[in-house]
Amino acid sequence: MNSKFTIMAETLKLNIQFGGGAELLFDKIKKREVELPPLKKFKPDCQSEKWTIRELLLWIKENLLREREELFLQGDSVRPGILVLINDTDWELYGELEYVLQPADTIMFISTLHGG
Amino acid sequence: MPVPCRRGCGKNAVLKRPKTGDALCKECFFWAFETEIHYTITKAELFNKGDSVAIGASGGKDSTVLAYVLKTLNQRYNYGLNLMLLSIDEGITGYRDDSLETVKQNRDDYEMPLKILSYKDLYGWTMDEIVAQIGRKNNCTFCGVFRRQALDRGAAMLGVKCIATGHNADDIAETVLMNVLRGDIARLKRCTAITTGSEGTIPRVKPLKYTYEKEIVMYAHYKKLVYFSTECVFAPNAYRGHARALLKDMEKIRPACIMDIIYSGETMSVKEEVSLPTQRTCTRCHFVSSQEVCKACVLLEGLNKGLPKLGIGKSSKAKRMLEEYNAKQAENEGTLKDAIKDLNDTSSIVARNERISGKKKSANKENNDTCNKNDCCGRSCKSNPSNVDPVTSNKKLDMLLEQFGLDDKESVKQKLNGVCDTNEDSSEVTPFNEQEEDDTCSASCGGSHIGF
Amino acid sequence: MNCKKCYSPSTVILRKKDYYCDNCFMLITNHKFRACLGKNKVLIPYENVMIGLSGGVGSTVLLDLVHHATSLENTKKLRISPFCLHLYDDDSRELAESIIKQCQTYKIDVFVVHQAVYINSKYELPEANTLQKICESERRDFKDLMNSMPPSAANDFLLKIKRILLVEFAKKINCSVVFTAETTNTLAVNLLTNLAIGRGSQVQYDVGFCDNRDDKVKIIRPIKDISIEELNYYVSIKQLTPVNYNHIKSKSLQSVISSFVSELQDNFQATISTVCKTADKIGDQRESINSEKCLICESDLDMKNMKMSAFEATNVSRIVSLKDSQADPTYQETSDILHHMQNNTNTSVFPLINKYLCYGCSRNHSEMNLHKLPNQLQKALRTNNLGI
Repeated sequence: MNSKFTIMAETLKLNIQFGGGAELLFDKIKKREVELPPLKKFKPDCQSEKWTIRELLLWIKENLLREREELFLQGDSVRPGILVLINDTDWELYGELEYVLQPADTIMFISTLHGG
Repeated sequence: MPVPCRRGCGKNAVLKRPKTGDALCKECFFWAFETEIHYTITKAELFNKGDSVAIGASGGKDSTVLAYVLKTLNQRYNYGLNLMLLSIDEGITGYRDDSLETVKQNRDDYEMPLKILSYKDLYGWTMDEIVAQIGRKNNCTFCGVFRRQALDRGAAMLGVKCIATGHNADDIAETVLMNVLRGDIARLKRCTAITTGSEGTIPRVKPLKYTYEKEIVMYAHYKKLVYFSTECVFAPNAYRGHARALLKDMEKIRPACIMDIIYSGETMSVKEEVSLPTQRTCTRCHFVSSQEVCKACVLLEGLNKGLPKLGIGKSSKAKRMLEEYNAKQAENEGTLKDAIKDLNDTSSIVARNERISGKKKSANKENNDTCNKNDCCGRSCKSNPSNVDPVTSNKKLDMLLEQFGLDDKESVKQKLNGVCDTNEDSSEVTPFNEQEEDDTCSASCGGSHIGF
Repeated sequence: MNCKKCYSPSTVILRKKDYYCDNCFMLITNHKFRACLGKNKVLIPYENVMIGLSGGVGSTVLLDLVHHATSLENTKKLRISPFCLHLYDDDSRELAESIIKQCQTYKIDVFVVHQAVYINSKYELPEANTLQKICESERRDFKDLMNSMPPSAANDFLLKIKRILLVEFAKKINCSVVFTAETTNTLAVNLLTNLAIGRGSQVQYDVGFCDNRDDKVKIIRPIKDISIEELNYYVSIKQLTPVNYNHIKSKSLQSVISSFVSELQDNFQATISTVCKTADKIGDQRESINSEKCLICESDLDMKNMKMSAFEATNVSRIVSLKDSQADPTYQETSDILHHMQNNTNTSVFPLINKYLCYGCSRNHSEMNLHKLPNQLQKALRTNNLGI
């Protein structure tokens, strides 16, 4: 029972949302519930045990991104012009890539690069 | 850790404002966002009390937010404006037909009248049909040139004092960079003006000129405004992408740079010796033009003559095409005459022309010369004797086109001489020289070219 | 392929399509340099001219061009007396040494000045052809100053410091003209950078042929029509040895623009020349009319009268983002905001603008640690502020 509990505790459930046209790169699905594996399992060489947005972007790239990744990512971050909201708040107020993800967080990506 | 709202209201901030770096909560952000636009409108004297104003509506984020905010401010500050929505249907299946649904939703939500004008009605061609003719390479030229004129015509029909467009601060800064990159000093000089429009046209105003795209998107998100955000199906070929990508990379490093670029544009002066093209009216459609015949008329004439690339990019190409065309014409004069006669006298076109002129006559009382409007569209008009005979009209058109070709060639030559000491084909060496007219595709796809 | 001028075998290919032989290429390049000086008519015969050297390709070629032109024994001889100045910092001592050697081969004196002298505005001419000594506190204060601001502001501020030092040391050796070695590439980047930092109204000084913001000393750019591609050929033909040293801080507007321009140039060969032609058309022809000058960059402070500007919009943005218990949160008149702005200059994004600093320098100022500003500047700002 104890070991089972540990495994449960190490996965991280999140809500991922896409808007403003960003969903077009993700099978046009706007809202997803995802379960992240323990970070060590996803990225064995990682120093930290805590998921941050930085690793989340890698995970999204490998697991959700369907096409033209350069339209979503640039370097180790999102492409400039894509807004990131952490629980409906601008990620610039939360340290951007360094934000440590918490269970049940909602991370939203909104593209501003679309026509107006 | 949550950051407190800088206005000291006790709530947590939801966003960092790119212009100043200040953090605000949702309510304070709404207030600040709207108040700034109000300030811009009043300080720059964009409207007069009681004006009728058409909002250029594409269904995208900018025009949706513009419509919402103008409605809000109109009520809050008693502007006394009579607001209406004006949309252009370019005829792009899977793009405009969907976004027009969003505009109709805006109409219902904001209780504003909506006027939709289609390229098909105005010019006889949808963008789908144009793209089928010319391929995807230069379609944005057609779209942009036609839209610019279509908005003017729509505004005239609605009898409004001005057209408000959703151009935001990012759009303006991007245009400044683009005009530098393509060496367009005339447009560089005027692209930061908040009000544009010369004699004879209905002024365009940009209430969102100082509003960041980031804030527009955040505002729409927090207000749960519905907008349309699929890229134009033809847009991936568009050319603004370079300037856009540069701007976004710079914004990441120093967000204030968007304002700084606009300030640069506003305070920059151009040497007097630089001759700026004089604005005049098109001899055919009487809309404002920098040439004897405006770009819309030339493009349209190209389409109608089966030379769709006429008027695109290098005029030397246009000239070559015209020469080939004329040679062919001399060869088969008889057959061609018949063909043109067929084209011009098709009763359905005439009927449509009459329908359009009827509409225009009632809506646009200042301009009762309806023939010119038809003339612009390159079709014959029965009330105008010079255009009755398809052969005469054809010759006249050729003359005009030839003239256009030569005029344009001169100016391009001048430009080129300045740039390089050899006559290299500039369309291959500079990325930004394909567009000749303002507002190319900027109203609906200007922001989307590096989009998805 | 053969040279397009003399039809002998070509050795130089420009813009991927123009072929020249060494001789014709050198003639053309020398001609470009002389034509640039000739048509702008700022040089008076036998004038003292100071050449600002960075050690890069541009400055190496400029020095060689000047040497060549002044050594001619015919009517085409360039009649000027050249001196050189190099501004160095702690990280570029070796570069400074090699520049001294470079100048010795041409038998031209070079003054090597440490950038940190800006901090105390002590502009004393050092002994020629040796590195200027600098005291530890100046060195440290200068480093602190440069590190007290983000990279974009630091890059820009350093350019302004160098400009001031060039002008001040030119005065020390009675030069009324300074040559600097910007090429088409640098100027294309500088034009876009100027726009991006709000210096649109200063383009003609920063990017044009002549910077005459100072009353006594003109800075001119005689190789502004020569591209880096041409310079590289020049260097290899004459077997010169430039020392490259990139002083642009990364993750800055300048570095982003610089890589953007090179990338675009690779794909579109007319990019840089188009941008430079644009630059030539920007600027005011009229002489400045005794207006106040920016304490950092000497640009005019006279504001254009505008109904509304990006500067005002930024200030409004700050005002409406501040704590204000009085304001009715649902209703605020434009006049209230205007009133507010006039009474709260200390919270403004641009506190010293238009009285002491231009827009661009004021933006930098807002991003730097104020205590680190040079004493003289701080003092000027303080005295002036008290005077309000």
